Amino acid sequence: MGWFDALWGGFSSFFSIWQVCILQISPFFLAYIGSLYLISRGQQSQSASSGREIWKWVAGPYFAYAAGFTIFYSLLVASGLGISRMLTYNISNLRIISGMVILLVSLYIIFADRLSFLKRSRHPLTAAALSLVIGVTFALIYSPCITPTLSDIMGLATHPQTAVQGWFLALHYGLGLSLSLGVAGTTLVFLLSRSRAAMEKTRLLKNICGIILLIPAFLNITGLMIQYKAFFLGLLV
Amino acid sequence: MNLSRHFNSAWLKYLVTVFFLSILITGCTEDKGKALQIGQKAPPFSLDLLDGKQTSLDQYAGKGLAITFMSSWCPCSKDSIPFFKEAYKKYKNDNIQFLMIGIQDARGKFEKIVAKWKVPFPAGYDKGDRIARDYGVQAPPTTIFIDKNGSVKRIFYGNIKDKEKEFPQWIEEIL
Repeated sequence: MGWFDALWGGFSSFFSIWQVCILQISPFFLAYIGSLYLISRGQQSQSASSGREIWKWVAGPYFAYAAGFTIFYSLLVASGLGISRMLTYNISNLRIISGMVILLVSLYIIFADRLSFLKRSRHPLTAAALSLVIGVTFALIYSPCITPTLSDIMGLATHPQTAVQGWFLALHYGLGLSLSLGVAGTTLVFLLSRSRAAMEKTRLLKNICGIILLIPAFLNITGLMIQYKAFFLGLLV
Repeated sequence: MNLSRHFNSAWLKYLVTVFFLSILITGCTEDKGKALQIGQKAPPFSLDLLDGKQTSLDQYAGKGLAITFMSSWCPCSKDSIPFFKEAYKKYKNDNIQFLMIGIQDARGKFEKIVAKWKVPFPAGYDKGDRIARDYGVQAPPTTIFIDKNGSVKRIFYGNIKDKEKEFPQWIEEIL
């Protein structure tokens, strides 16, 4: 298998039956990227900034998200690497920490336009830093079922002799997943920007996005993510 | 644009720093998570079966054992079940045992899927995914083939349906 096969395997899984597994993160990613756009719209009304400025709010943070997600996802897959084994063994605690971080980011989204110290920090760079962190947390909370492409990658990535090769392919698989989420996120932002109703209620929608993001926070802090998978994802299979 | 001003936001600096430090500390505190390797002795386990009995690795001494870790919400776990049933039917009189372990799942949902598919061999729910952790299983479905000496002969990640031809050979390896 080459890097392109791995990339395509990750990308295409989003548009296939494997979306059932990706639903562990995809609605929450969309809520997050949507909220960044809506925060940028709030900024725009204050500073009359350009459309380019808005893309800075969404594109830059998206790339930071993709970097965080891809790197940590690939490390988790490549269990032949020492760092991966440590992450995997401690995954329960790492998921609780991730839940706490997602909780803080959710609160940031909800209160970004209400608390003065958060208002001051509203900037694309802040959004990018938070997105990097969110990308890492999503990689840690995501436990997919094994697609045929991922099956081949894991076959390589779990053996110490081929772990680096497997990690390289897992990196591309994770990148493919991130790209597909990027396509979905861009579509959402496009639809939001074209919707007059949405643009009239940016604050409400932003708060709804923040509340949606509270769901994975709560599920991971309490260890109830398995219930979400069993009962919600189970309905779709 | 004053970049430094924004990174001077104390809360953001704390959040990013504390998060990555906690990953580092949590990730490095306990290195028991050795990835299971071919040829290695299978880690001991004990498991409460759905029929109320208990099983452990010792009970399979001198026999081949195929353990499948699966979840009710995972499409490829479900796809794999008929192949395990068929293999059980074919090899039950040989010295091979099959065990299904539910991971990353709700106990009730796992019980339902076992009942729905009329799984004919022992099945148990891995509370807290402890056995999965000891076996380095990250995601369902994963199948581990253990030979009669208790050594791991093969690990397969993914849907057995995709390896329909190889599956019987893998079972015969642990005969």
